[in-house]
Amino acid sequence: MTYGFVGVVIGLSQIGLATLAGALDYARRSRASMAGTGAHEGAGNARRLLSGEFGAPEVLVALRSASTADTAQALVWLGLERVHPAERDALVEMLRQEPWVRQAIDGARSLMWWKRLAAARTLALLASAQDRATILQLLSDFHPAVQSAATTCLNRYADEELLTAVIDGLSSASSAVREYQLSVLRGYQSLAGPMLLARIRADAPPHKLYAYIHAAAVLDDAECMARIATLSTHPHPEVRVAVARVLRRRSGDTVQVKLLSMLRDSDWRVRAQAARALSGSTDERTVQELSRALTDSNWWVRFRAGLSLASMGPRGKQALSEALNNADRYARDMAMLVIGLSEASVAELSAG
Amino acid sequence: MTIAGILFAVMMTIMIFFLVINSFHSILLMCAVPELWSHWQLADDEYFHALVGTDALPPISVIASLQHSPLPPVEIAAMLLGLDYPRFEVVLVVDGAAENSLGNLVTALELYEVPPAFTINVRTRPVRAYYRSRTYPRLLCIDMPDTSIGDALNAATNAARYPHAVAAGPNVVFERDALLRLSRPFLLDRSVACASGILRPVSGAELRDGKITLRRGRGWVDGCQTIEFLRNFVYLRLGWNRVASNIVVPSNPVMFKREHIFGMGGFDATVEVPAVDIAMRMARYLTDNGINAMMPVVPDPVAWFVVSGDLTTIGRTRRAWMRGLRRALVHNSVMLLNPEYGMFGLVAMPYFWLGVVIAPLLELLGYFGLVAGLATGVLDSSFAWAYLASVVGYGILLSIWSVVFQVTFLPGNDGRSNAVRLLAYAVIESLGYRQILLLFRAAAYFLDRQPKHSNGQPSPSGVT
Repeated sequence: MTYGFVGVVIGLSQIGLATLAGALDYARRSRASMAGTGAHEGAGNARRLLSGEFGAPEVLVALRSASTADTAQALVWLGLERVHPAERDALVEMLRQEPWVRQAIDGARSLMWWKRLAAARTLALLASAQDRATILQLLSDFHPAVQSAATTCLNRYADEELLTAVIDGLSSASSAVREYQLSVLRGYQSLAGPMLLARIRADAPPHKLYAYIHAAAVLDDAECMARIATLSTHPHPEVRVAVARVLRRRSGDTVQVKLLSMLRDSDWRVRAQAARALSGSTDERTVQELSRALTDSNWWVRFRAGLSLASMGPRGKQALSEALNNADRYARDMAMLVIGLSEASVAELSAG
Repeated sequence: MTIAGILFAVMMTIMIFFLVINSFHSILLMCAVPELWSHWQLADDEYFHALVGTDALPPISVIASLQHSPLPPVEIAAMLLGLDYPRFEVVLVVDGAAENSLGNLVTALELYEVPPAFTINVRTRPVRAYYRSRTYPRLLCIDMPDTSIGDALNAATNAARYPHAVAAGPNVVFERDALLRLSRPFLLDRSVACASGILRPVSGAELRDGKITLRRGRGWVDGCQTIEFLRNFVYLRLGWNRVASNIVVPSNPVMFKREHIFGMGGFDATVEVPAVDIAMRMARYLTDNGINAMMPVVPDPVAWFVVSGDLTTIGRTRRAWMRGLRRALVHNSVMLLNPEYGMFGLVAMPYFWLGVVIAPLLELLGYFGLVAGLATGVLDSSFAWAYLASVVGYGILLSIWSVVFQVTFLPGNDGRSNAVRLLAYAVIESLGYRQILLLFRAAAYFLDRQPKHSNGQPSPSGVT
């Protein structure tokens, strides 16, 4: 018994590990039960629902037998299936009265992020105007997965206040969440476009302006794009970089003039983006400006200018050949590098 | 105090020391549980999967030194160029003077020399030439004379184009979706400085046209190495995610921001194991510069480490790792018990000193002391049992838990059918293999000096 403390310490650690492993295994099995009821019984139920053999009350009974977390998952899964709208609305109304659904939605206030995630996923199918405050809270959650799931709620219910919250939060969201939110915003282009237009102003904070410009490019809103072109001389370089990047997708004389002036910007990132954006033009002035950019002090600007010339066709390639005799060593080196690339390589590097 | 009294006190101290260290390991294993839970919540997340293929994924430069690598350079290049990721480039450093290296690459990948038009952010030894491929625009090859891995990685980091880079040791074979998995922490959180993935041991790998065929070793050494990697490099590392930032496992694939590497002055060209050194320096750099960023480990197996079944080679590797860790700890001793460095200084640094650097010496001393104590009657059998339970038995239980976690929660390539075999090795590993490694690790104190250009890697016989 003298060394009993050794056994006590080891025993306690084993109990701790066994408890946690057991809890994790239980959680895993609960999740898998979705695959169990979901893939076996639930999938069977879904198939019967899809084929019209199953009504909403039967689905409700099947969902009742699953645990809360699984049900949230199952709801997301079921939501992807083609349910008749009238039947679906009736099911949603019935579900909202269910204690386990209320419990899942109440998880939005939990300290545990996965409960908030389950709440967001549940609301993604059941959301209505009464959930606006909860969705707003979930949209500003610190956890990116919760934010993403909350964004999905907008597919079910969205209003100006919620869209405003998403747009205003774009600048602080992680890149993954931002991309997802933009894909959802595309579905509300008529509402989101004017909101963005009102925010794309020269006096807006640069980090926010950067996010708005990116969003406008994704939405491809004509009015926003016209406004963005006016920001080519914005004092903040990050904004000018975003403008040059966005203008790459536009054409027209005005855009080309802007890009040519940006090719002489003081910030190399702006010059590089402008050089890249000019690959679509083939007129003599652009060729001359890009040939001049081959002597730029920054490698990226020279590289982008070289790739743009290479993708222009015969006139651009001729300019590159001429650059092999340029007095500037860096221009000669870059011309040699780009000329050595195959057509496919030029296309891939220009895109990447 | 008599000699018997001193011996008893020393043995009791060692026993309590290992009881504490193993209990700490036990806590790390417990901490791995919520990590696994979080992983499941996100890994199955359909919203995340929807993002794959969008602009959200950051472009990545994969940098690797093929110097000293026993893997065929053309096959490594094909393997890296075949990774599933929308935007990435591969920057390889080779020694053109070495046999069958650059020549093979030039022929197979249609390389042509390009001007040295790259920004030098970190000074390196001279570069002989830069090459691009006519057929693979994503590839850049750098010809450098025989140099250290750190120096080669610096040259590759200088020439890389993208803000994020992934570096891995020479004996590492990537899973095809490794970059997707490694980039996940960067996607979901802005405050990530670097992320590393799980490295799994494999006794052989056949690379043909970028496709990997893994060969599982069936010998006891292979089995024991699997257990060692599972316990130390998978589950304990996951636990560290919750306790403090991670010390990256040697050879682990690491994704980092190039700006941080440049801020630190690059990889140390004089160290044997750059991954360990850079991880520790990064923890220090982030705190010194007031950057609040994490260094998480992703619980996904992203790469395979081709290990040798030869004990001599394993010993050489472990000695190199031990030397690398010890050197990194000494060079960054300012962090030790320094509250300014948070949990890294207060928990991780003392642990790596006590639990990794000093523990082998104490364990070795303990075995000698136990034999001497029993022989002289200073220690009785009840102490011996308690001692063995603390030092060996406790370790076996933790290895068993690692296997249980693996086969239950992350089965992957270790199906449940393999469970009995792994459980057997969990016992065997602590009753022989571990003691042999102990001798190698202890030898790192007395016998070794760092070779001029050692890479700390074994020369696996299983690579074809």
